Amino acid sequence: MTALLDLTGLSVRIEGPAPRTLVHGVDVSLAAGERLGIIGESGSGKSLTALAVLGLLPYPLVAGGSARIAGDTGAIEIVGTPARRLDRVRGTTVGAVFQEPLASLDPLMRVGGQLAWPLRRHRGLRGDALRRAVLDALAEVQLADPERIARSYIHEISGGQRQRVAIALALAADPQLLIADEPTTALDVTVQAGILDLLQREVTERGMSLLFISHDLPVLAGIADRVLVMRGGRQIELGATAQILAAPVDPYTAQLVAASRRLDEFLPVAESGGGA
Amino acid sequence: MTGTTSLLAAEDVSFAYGSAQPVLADVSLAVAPGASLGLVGESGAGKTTLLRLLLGLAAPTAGRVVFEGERLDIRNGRALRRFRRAVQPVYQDPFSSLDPRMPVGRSIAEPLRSLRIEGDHTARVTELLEAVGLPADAAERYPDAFSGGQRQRIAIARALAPRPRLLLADEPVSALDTSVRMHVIELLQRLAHEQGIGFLLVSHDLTIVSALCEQMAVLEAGRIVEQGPTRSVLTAPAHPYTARLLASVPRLPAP
Repeated sequence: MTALLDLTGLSVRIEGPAPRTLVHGVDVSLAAGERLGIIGESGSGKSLTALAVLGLLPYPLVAGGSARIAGDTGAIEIVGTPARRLDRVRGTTVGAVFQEPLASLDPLMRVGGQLAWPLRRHRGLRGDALRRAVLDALAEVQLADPERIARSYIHEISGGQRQRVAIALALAADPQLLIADEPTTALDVTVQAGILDLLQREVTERGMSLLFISHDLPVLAGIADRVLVMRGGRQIELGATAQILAAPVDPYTAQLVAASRRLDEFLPVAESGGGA
Repeated sequence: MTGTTSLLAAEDVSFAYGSAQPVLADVSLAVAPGASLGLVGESGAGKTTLLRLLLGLAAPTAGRVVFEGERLDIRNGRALRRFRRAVQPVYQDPFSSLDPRMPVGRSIAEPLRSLRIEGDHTARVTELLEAVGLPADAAERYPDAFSGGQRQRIAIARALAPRPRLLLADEPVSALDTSVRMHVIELLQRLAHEQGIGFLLVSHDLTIVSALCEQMAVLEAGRIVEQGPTRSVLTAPAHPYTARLLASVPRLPAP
């Protein structure tokens, strides 16, 4: 069985006069269709790990070790590969959604135009077919009135709508792996629920793999098959979600689970099944 | 409504920025001395505007804010100082709410100076640091020496300095990591229990409201759609919006 994503001793360091290692050796592999969650608090290195997998670390951050992605278009080693050579992986093999949708959206281009770009490039669509594909993509992420959204600039739509557009953009080239870095952290809780439902459905229907990064254990518990726990730049535990919740091995994981459990218990159990 | 028994109340308060749609419409709520009220709502519901009115930072366009039975007049400096001794704010972001160039002890004593409260400020600072679980030598250090959770403790110590009767807290734990969040909630619970301090807690987070507040109100699009004892609102929400809010909270699977 070959993994879609294989991280071996993946590290991130700052180069320069005072070099320092920020992420020390992450080891995990992700099979096709699998959903892996990375949990950690601020400064744990979880987002740097995601950026390293995408080959998007900003200078002077540099990745070490190995991050291999084996997509339909062949295997590629991300670490050390020049950015322009990663372009054939990004979008088609790996798509990404970030906490702040504005980070992946262009404020000066209408939503429809932004979405048309990857659809044209990766699916070779033109003219009417392209126009229809843009509207379909917006409808698929459950945006009501796709025509209006397509004509809008991003400052004209809400935060939840922007995140849906960002998801549509990440899915446009039909990637095999979706990396979602705190995609709902900036959103209201009702909007978050809608986005999580949408991600669940897209991942299931497309048979995609998911790498979901969050500081919020209940959010991860609802979406991930396995959980990797990070703290201070180190991977400290990896296991099936149910097992991490029921029998955490590392003391830090245990403390995180206990705190999340206690917070959760402040809320009475909803009468109409309060699951994700 | 609750008239003279409440410490702080909003009575049929409305507020509009200029001639735009009102941000708040006929909002009434009251906090009795030593009691705790949670105000829940999502972005744009009007939480922050209501908090500004209750803090005397702006005046309502209609209705009134009532402090100890009297209308709060924000142009009366003397009344406002008396109000600020009794009602102190705690904000969401402990990074921006502390002056980075001021030693922590000086920040904590700031309300004592500005409200012209006499006494041994240094001794009071030591007492406050202890109350929030920080060492006495924290007073000489600067905010950048502290973590987010510690800074929020410092912000709470500062709010407690003038011995207020009510803390108006705007998302006091939202910016904190899970385990730190738990500790700050415990600190607030202890303060309520030991010092009889009341809370008006504004949050989008039902969990913290459930942990700290006996009463809660739900604000949607500038109106209070539901109000009552927290337990009964959360176990049997009467308004569909409250039910939707509750159903949206991600929960851990039962152990």
